[in-house]
Amino acid sequence: MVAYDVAANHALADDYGCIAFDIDGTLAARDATGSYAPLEGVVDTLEALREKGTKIVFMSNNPISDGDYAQRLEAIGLYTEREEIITPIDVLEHFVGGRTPGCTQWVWTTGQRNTSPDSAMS
Amino acid sequence: MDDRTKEYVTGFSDVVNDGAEYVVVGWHPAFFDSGNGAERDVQYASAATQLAQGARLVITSDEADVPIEGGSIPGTHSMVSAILDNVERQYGTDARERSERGIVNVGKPGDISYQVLESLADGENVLMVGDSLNTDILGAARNGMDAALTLTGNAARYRDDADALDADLSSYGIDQRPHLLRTIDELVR
Repeated sequence: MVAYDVAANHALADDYGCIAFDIDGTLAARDATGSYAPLEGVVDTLEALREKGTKIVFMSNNPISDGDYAQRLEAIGLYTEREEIITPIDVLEHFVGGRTPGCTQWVWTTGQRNTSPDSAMS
Repeated sequence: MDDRTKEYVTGFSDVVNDGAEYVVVGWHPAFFDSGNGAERDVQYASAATQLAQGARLVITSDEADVPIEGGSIPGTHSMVSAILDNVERQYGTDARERSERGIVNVGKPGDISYQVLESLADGENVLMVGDSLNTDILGAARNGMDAALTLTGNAARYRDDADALDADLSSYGIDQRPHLLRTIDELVR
């Protein structure tokens, strides 16, 4: 067991014009009572970054749409724009060049219908 | 994303029996619940057939496990393995290997997601912040971005154990230790 010094992060955000955050386990998690909530310091940090004009991106491996994700975050008091959110579904659209999947081209084997935090896993 | 696309992502009823270009696999809590209906069974059967016929396998994550209170349950990687096993049993080893070679990961640490991030950043210097070495931090390292590991969630076990962190960084092939954040507000303090 070796401990380390984490005091070297003074105003780390100042070095970056854009900060991308993972969500589950980074910004939010289940608390002791089992409910999904922002982690310590998250709300204030995001607010401080917005005040500084830092571009914020939310980047999750949850295979749900950015609109559903924005609602999920809003439900726990984290206000976002869907344009700030990257999920695998957005990346998939990018990968196929913005084509609309049609039933002659695609098989969706699985996906998450439920937008409740209970399905916040990947 | 229009409504039609969304329906395909979230719905279970649209099964293609012929000529699919892509088979998309995302994590679902009911994957291992065999009692969940014939509709889903048909989807998995169709997935194997389409892959054998040359469809490309797209995965939304390659995570082995999903942590839950008191342990973990199988993640997307396990679902993908099950589907590939099914391809192999039905269509042989060559079909499986072709499917595996073409896998595209549209989640982290896949390169495409970091390209989308770069385009959103619009020329700004980017810091990736996350709690998972094998997704958040690995993807940033592979794509030349700085990263900060929050010592929460998956990384809580490194809080007082730098040796364990360095060993895991090494096993993932990450050369540079990310910034470390005990709490996220260290970004702005």
